[in-house]
Amino acid sequence: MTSWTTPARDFLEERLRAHRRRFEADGAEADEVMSDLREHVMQEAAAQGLTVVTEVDVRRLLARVDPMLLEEPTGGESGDGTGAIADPAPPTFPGVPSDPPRSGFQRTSVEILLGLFGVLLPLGTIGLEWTQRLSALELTDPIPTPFHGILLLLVPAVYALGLWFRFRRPGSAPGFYPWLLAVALGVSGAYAAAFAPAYPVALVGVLYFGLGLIPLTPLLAWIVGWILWRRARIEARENGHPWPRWAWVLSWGVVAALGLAALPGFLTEELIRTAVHGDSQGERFQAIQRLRSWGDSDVLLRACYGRRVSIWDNLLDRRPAAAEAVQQVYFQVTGQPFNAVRPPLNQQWGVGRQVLSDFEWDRSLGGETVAGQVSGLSLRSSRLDGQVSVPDGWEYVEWTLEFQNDNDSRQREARAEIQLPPGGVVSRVTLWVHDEEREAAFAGRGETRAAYQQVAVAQRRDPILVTTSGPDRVLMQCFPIEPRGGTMKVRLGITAPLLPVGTGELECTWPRFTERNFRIDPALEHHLWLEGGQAPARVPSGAFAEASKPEVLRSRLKQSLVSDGFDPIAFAVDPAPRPSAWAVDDRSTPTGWVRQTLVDRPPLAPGRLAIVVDGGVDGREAWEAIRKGLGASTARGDLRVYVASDGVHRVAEVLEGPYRAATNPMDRFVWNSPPFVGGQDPIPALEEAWTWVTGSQDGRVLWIHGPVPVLLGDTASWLQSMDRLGDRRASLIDFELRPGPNLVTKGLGSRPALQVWPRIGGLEADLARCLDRMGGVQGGREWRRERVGTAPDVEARGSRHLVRLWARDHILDLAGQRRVADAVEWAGRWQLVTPVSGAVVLETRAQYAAAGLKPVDPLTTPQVVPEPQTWMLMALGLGLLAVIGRHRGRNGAGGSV
Amino acid sequence: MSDFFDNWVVQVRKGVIELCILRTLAVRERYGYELVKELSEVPGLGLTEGTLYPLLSRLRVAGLVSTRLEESASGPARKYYALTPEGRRTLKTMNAYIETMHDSAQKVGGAE
Repeated sequence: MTSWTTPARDFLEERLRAHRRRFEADGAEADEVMSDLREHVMQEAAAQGLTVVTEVDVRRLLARVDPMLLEEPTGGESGDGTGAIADPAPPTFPGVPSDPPRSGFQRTSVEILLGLFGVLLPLGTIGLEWTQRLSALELTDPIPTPFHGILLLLVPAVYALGLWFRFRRPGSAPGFYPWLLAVALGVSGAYAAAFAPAYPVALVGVLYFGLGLIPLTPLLAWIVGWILWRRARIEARENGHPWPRWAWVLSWGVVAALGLAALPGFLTEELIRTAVHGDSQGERFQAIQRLRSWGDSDVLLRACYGRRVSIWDNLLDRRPAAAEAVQQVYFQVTGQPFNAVRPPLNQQWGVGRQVLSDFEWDRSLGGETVAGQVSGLSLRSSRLDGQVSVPDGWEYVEWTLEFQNDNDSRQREARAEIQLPPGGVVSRVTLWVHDEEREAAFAGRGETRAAYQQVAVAQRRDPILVTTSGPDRVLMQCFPIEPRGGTMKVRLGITAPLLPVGTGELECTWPRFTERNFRIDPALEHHLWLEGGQAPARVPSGAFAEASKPEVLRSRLKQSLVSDGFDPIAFAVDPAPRPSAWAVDDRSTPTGWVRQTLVDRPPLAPGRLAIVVDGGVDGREAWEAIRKGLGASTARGDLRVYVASDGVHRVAEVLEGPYRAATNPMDRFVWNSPPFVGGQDPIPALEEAWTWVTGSQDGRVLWIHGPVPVLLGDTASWLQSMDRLGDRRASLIDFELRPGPNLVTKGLGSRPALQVWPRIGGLEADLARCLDRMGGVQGGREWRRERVGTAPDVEARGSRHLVRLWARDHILDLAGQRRVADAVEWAGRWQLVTPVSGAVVLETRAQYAAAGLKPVDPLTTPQVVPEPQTWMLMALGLGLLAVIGRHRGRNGAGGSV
Repeated sequence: MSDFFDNWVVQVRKGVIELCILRTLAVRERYGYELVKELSEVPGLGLTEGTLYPLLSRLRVAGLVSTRLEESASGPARKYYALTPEGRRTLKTMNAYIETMHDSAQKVGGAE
C-alpha cells in the first residue's frame, strides 16, 4: 500500500492548480484533466512500488509524466495565485489516515482512538492485572517480575509521549524517541504473541457481547504502536530528521529478549510435565536431571502450589501436573521440602498470591499433612516456659503459640509438625476460647481426629488436635483462625527426660518446628524461661541467668534457632550412680510406684554396621564429617557404606577390619562420581543395607540424611522384611542432618527397631559420638524406669512426670504387642499423646458429648510450677466444683466447658 | 535541427496524436493509464504522458470519446475511454483524409 505525505499531496495539487489555465486553453475541462493527471501520478507511484510518496517522489514523477508541470506557466496560463478559481473538491489520496486532508474533528477522532487503545486501555489492563491477576490465572503471567511491570508501563507511556509530540507539532519528537518507540513496539509485540490464544474467544466476546477488549489489549497496543511508528518515520523524513536505521532491530531484539526470558519458565513447565507424566522411568529421570541443571526454581515452586488449566494448556491439549506430584519433583530437584521455602510471592507490590491456588485455597484443611504455607497466616507470638528437675532427670516445657490470620476473607487452619525433645511426650494441650483456657480430652487417635474433623471442618468451631507424626514428633493443628486479624492461642505441654551425655552431664533440649504452614517473621523472638533447682553448667549463647535467681535462665530466641536447633542447656550431675527417684502412680488401680534410675549403659555388642548416606544436597556437608568420624574411629568389625544417589551405591566395605579402612574407597567414590544432588530416594539403599545387617545378630543401619518430605519409592518390601526378619535382629538408627519432615520414619510407626539419634550438638561431635556408640566403642548412661506394685521403702517424692515418662514407654510396648485398647487406656489415664492416642480441645460440652469424649480436669494437668500435693488438689477441686455449680446455676446446662 | 523543423514537427504531431488516440480506441476501449502508456511508447510521436490528458478531455468535450468509471481490485476506480459513434465516423473521415494527404504529398515533386 502506498501512502502519501501531506507535503507530497500539497505539492502535486499546487502544480496541477498552477496549470489549470493551460488545460482550459487547450480546450479541455481543467478539473477532469487535473483529476486524470492526479490518478496517473498515483498509479505511477504505485507501479514503482513506493510505499511512502514524498514531495521528492512527486517531483521525480512529474518530471517524467509531464515536465511542463514542474515549470511555472507563462502569461495568463497560471490558474493559481489569483484566488479567482475555486478550489476543486478535495482529492482522495491513498495511505495512512493523516495523509488525506481531514477535518479537525476527524483528526481529533483518530488521535482519541490511538490514545484510547494505546494508552488508556493498556493502563487500565495493567492496573487490573496488577490487582486481580486474571491473566496470570487463566493464560500466562504477564508480570512475573517487577522488571516486566516496568516494561509494560513503558508502552502506554511511550505512546502517550508520541501523541503529545504530534499534538504539539508533527515531527517534533526528539532524536531518542524512535528508540523508545522501538522498545515499546517490541514489548507490545511480544505480549501480543503471548496472548494470541485468547484472541478468538475475545473477538467472539467483542462481536456478540461487546465485552472482551482486555485480552485484545496487547494486540491493539501493538497496532497503535505500528501506526505511531509509521507516522513518526514519515514525519522525520519530511522534516529532514534522520530515522535510526537499526531501530527496527531493537524492536525485534526486545521481542526476542522477552521470548528468551520466558523460555526457561516454559521449558521448566515442559520438564515438570515430563518428570510427572513421562512414559518411562528413564524419561522421567532425565527430566529430573535437566531440571536440576537449568530448571527455573521459581516456576517449580509456583507449580508446587497448584496451577489452573490455562488457555495455553487447552490450546496445546495438555494438563498441568498435579501440585502433589510437583512437590515430589521439587524435592528431587532441590533436595528441599517445598514448604520449607518461602512461597514465591512478589512482595514488592503484594500481588501474585492468587496465582498460587493452594496458597489461597488450603486443600489440606483437617488433613494429616502440614502442606504448603497459606496466605495471611503467621505466628504472632511464641513463649517457652520450662521447668527442669536435675535430680529426677526430667524437663517440662510449655510452648504457648499464638497465630494470626491476616487473610481478607478465609478462615485458616494452623498446622505444624513439632519435634519433641528425645523421648518426650505431649502431656498437656490447652486452647484459649474467649480468653478462657480449655484443656484437651485425651482419647484414641481415631476418636480425637474424627471429633476434630467434625467440629473443625463441618461446624467450623474452635478445636485443636495434637497427634503423633513419627517418633518424637507431633502434628498440631487448630482451626478456625478468623480472617482480618483473627488470632488463636494454644499451648502444648511436653514432658521429656533430661538427656544423659557422657557421665557428668544431663542436657535439656527444646521442641522445634520441622514443618509449618504459617509464616514466621524473621524478627519474631521466642521468649524462653527455664526454672530449675540448680544453675546450668553450660548455656547457649544469648541465654542469661536472672540476677536474683541464678537457677532461672532466660533468653530471646531468634526463629532460626528454633527451626534449625537450639543448643541444649547442660546441667552437671554427680558421675557416681545416683539413688533411685520414686513417683507414685495414683491414677491406676491398684496404685503403683515408678522408680527411675540413671544406670550405666554397656557398649553395644559387635554386629554389622551399614551406614546409608543421603546422596542429596544434605549429604554433601555430612560426607566429610562421616569420613573424618570413621577415620578417627577405633572401632573394628563389618562395615558397609552406602550412598543413596539416583540408585544404590555401595561405596565401601570393611570385613572384620578397622572402620577407618572405609575412608579410602569413600574418597575414590566421591572423586569418580560426585553425588549429592537434589533430593534422593533412600528406600532402595535402606532395604539393601537392612538385608545385609540382618545377616548377623545385632546388626545396625545408621541412616544419615536430610529431610524426607515425600516418599519416592515403595516401602512395602522393606517393611515386610523388617517385620518378618529384622525387627528383633537389627535396628535402624535415624540420624537427621537438619530438622525437617521424615515420611520414612513416620511410616515405620512405633516399630521397636527404629531409634532416633538425638542431635544435641555440632554435626561432627554428634557423628563421632554416634559412630563410637554404633561401633561398640563407647557405653554411656541411660534412664531406667520401672513400675512396682509395692511401696518403696523411701517416700515417693518424685514428680508425676516420671510416671508420665514411664507410661509413655509402656504405651509404646503395649502398642508393639498390639494391645491397643490397653495402650489407649493408659494414654487417657495419664493424658498423653502417643501413636495410639491424641488430644483434642472442643468448644462446647455438647461437642464433647457428641464425640464421646471428656476433657481432662484442669487440676490434673501438669504445670510449670510444682504440682500440688493430693490434699491441695482435693481442696482446690472442691472449690472449683462450688464455682462451677454457681456458674451453671446462672447460665443453665449445655454451656461451655 | 533548425527551429523551423521543430515547429513543423509540433504542428504535424498535433493532428496526428489525436488520430492515433482515436485509432487506438477503435480497437477496444482502454483505461487512461493504459492508453497513455501505450501511446507514449509509440516512436516518433514524442508524446509525454501528461500531454495526453488534455487531449482526451478535449475529445470527450467534442463528443468523440466517452468515459466510464469501473471499480478496480488493485486500486482506485479506473476511467475507461471508448469511441462514440460520432468518434468512429470522424475517425473514418480522418483516416481517409490522412491517406489522401499522404498520397498527395508523395506525388508532389516526386519522392526523394
